Amino acid sequence: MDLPHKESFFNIGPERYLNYLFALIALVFVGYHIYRRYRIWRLGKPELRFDRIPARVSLILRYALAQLKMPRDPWAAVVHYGIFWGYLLLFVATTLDGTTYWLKTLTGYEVLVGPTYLLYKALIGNLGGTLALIGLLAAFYWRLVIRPPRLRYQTEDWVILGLLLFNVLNGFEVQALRLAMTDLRNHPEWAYWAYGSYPLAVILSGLPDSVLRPLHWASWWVHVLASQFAVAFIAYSKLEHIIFGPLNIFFRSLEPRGTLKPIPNIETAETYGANRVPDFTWKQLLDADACIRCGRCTANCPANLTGKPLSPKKIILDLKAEMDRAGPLYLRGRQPDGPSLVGDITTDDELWDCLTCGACMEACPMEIEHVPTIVEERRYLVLNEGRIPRDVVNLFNNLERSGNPWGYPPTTRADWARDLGVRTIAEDPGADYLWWVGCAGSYDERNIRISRALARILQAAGVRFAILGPEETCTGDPARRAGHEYLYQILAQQNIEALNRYGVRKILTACPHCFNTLKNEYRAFGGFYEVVHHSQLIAELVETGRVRLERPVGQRLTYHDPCYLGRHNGVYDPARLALTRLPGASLVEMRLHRHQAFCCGGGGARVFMTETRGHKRVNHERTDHVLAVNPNVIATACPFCMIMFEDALKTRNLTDRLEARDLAELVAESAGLSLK
Amino acid sequence: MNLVVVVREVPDIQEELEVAADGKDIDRTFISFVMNEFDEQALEEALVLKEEGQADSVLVAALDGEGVDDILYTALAKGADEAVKVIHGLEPPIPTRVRAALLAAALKSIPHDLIFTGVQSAEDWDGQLAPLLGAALDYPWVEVVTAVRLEDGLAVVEKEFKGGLRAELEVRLPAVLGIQAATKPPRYAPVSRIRQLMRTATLKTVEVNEMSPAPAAKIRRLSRPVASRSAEFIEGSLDEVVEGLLSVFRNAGVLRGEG
Repeated sequence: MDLPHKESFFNIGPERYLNYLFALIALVFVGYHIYRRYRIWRLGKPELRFDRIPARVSLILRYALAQLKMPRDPWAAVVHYGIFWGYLLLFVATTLDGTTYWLKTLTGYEVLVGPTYLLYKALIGNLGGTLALIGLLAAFYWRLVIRPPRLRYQTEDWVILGLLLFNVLNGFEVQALRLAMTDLRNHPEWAYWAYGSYPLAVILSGLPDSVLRPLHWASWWVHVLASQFAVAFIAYSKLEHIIFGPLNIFFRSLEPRGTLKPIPNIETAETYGANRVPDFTWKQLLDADACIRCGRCTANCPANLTGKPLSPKKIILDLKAEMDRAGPLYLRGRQPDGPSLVGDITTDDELWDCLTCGACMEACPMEIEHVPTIVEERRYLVLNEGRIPRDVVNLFNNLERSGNPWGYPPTTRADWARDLGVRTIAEDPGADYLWWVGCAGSYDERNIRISRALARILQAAGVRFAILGPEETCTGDPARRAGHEYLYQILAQQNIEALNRYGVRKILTACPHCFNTLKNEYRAFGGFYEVVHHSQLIAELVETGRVRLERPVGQRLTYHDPCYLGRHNGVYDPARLALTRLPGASLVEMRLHRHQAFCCGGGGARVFMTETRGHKRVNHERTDHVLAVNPNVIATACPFCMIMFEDALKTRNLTDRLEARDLAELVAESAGLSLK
Repeated sequence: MNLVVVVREVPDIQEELEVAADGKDIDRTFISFVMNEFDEQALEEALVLKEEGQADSVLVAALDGEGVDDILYTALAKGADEAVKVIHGLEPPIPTRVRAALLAAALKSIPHDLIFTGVQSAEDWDGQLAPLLGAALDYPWVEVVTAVRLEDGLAVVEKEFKGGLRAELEVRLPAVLGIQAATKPPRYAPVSRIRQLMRTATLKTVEVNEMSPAPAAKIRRLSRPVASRSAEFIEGSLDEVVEGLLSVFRNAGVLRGEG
């Protein structure tokens, strides 16, 4: 029978079985490495990440296999898709080769024969090699010529690329040598299918067998050794991401991105937050091992881009270094001394610079959760060490004493609405919406104007709503994000008690920070509400005609996505929908919008802190993004964004050409409602 | 060297304060108390001295009263070594003269080299506690202190006078200092730490026998300030506003000539 078929171990004698020994050795290296890291992860605190398995499998398909974040950087996409799919196909090819060989040896049944074999050769082996080659060549060009600053350029990086390139070329060479001695002589039409190695085979075919045979034998063994060396190298290099990456993606939090976890049993805890390896959860430790050091987090971090010391990548790698240093000591039951992770390795300033905007997490291809780790370390600073910046001390004092970040009297919380006929929930317990006004909307002069505009919209549209009035206090969001979990829990419990006392089910709020806290974080304390952001309700009122937009407002608008509405909660469209309905206005998008939007500088309690580090203020940087599309109105939907933009426009003398307006103000004005 | 910081509670002015029915005190039924802000400065200065190694220990003492436990635990959470509650048996408000006498009696059983207290308190603003305590103990005292340095048997203190004038004084120990401001802003003690100490730490108590009533000022009547004339807004263009302001100054006689 003269059919094309895979001739396994061509030209290799009984020494062929050594091949399996080498593979086993490589796998032992990798297995032992996984086991060692697993033991370190087990030092961490428990955390439930085994729920909703189908959703987790879907994560694997999307982010580990399809790697949906790769196309955001075209070069990274070419490089990584090339190498990943190429090597995956090569792995499949080798596995098929091995299994079918044993099937044939043991049962005599041949799978890789005839057209199947030719297709196998063309679409698995040679396609894999070709894709990997393209990816690797692109990688060298990318790193040598383009040199993106976010990447690391260490020996290890070059060794890996060199090794992978050598294996691909070596693989083609082995195949070419075999073709030169077999198919090319007997059935040249079969040889085309191995298009990757065919050209080399043609060149080599002129050599006599006395050269080809030993050369093939030697190259085959080099290929085995180099490939198994690459496998073993997974245990000693960033290649470990091949294992830890998908694992980390599988265990990603399925909560909305901005959700933080409570400190369990806070009343009886001995220490708070995280500084030593066992203070972190196992997932936070796994995060550190999954880091591939690609630098996407830092390249997208608004604090880092404006020159502040914070680098999310460094935060994660600092933890990894601590795991490497102290982990083995803990495993031997010792208490390591030496520098403290928080303070000595990761500095206080780095932690306080974080805006909790989540751009790092959004960018991370490994789904590392930087923000919860940073907040955990802030908790250590605040609750354990008491090392707190002055501004944050004032914030905490005000929240403790007055229930709002600025220290205004709680009794005057509802004064903004005094002449508007707004009722409290005590006066109208049957209201459809409990409007959570929030501290900014209640006390901040600029944001009071937005609250008043929203009140008029709701009244004009006939929405039955009520406010809590003086019974409302800060949701605790800034306290929580600044690391004061205890204060957050006091405020949360107080608010949940008030909301539940009135049987509140549906909450409306104009503040994305309140939105996130009420919707996602009060659940852990018994507060379950349907929470609607004002952009969602306004869009609905506009769409259903309950608010008619008649007057032209603004000409050229750009919309700034608030982090806690957009990236953290996926609400991007309602505000845009309402804005595009404004007569005479056109909506232009900034380069960084939707999930890639750049923080205003006010998240993570930073709106209450003076910005002293860096070469530029974050709100000035964001204002540059605005100026690049040359609008006359920045539309936003967050009181903190508003405060940050107002500040930027004033400090940069831009108030005569650009104004910052909330969606509610624009809609109220267009609907002909009073703005006073 | 042992430092003692005398602290007291004052009503939290974040809340609405009402005059009591008898018109001689505020209604103390529902109000909450916080540490007197000048006492916070005094405590901070003492803690800084301890941290710098100039002093060995910081003990906080307060007359018993509503909310005093919280204040003492807060002081412990900030780093004080011990807290003492002085049990007396008098009803608030306690005049400063009596306060000083009670504290002086209590301090007899508390080892101390230097006593700190806030220069004054929001409850009476009379600023007499440091001098009266000094007199009762027969110690030297200094008021309006903004910096303290400890030397052998001496405290070198900076005192602020009117018009930005400062003096550096040497005070023989033991002494009483009325602190105006610490060299650093008072530190923050997270509630979690305070609650932790409430479970684990104990407050010591010193009982002081009732003493013969000391001569002290009596409150005859307490009332809310009455809003008098409201502010005048000068509106118009920049020139009109400037002209308006100038005429206000001229009418008040603080501006001579055309200025």
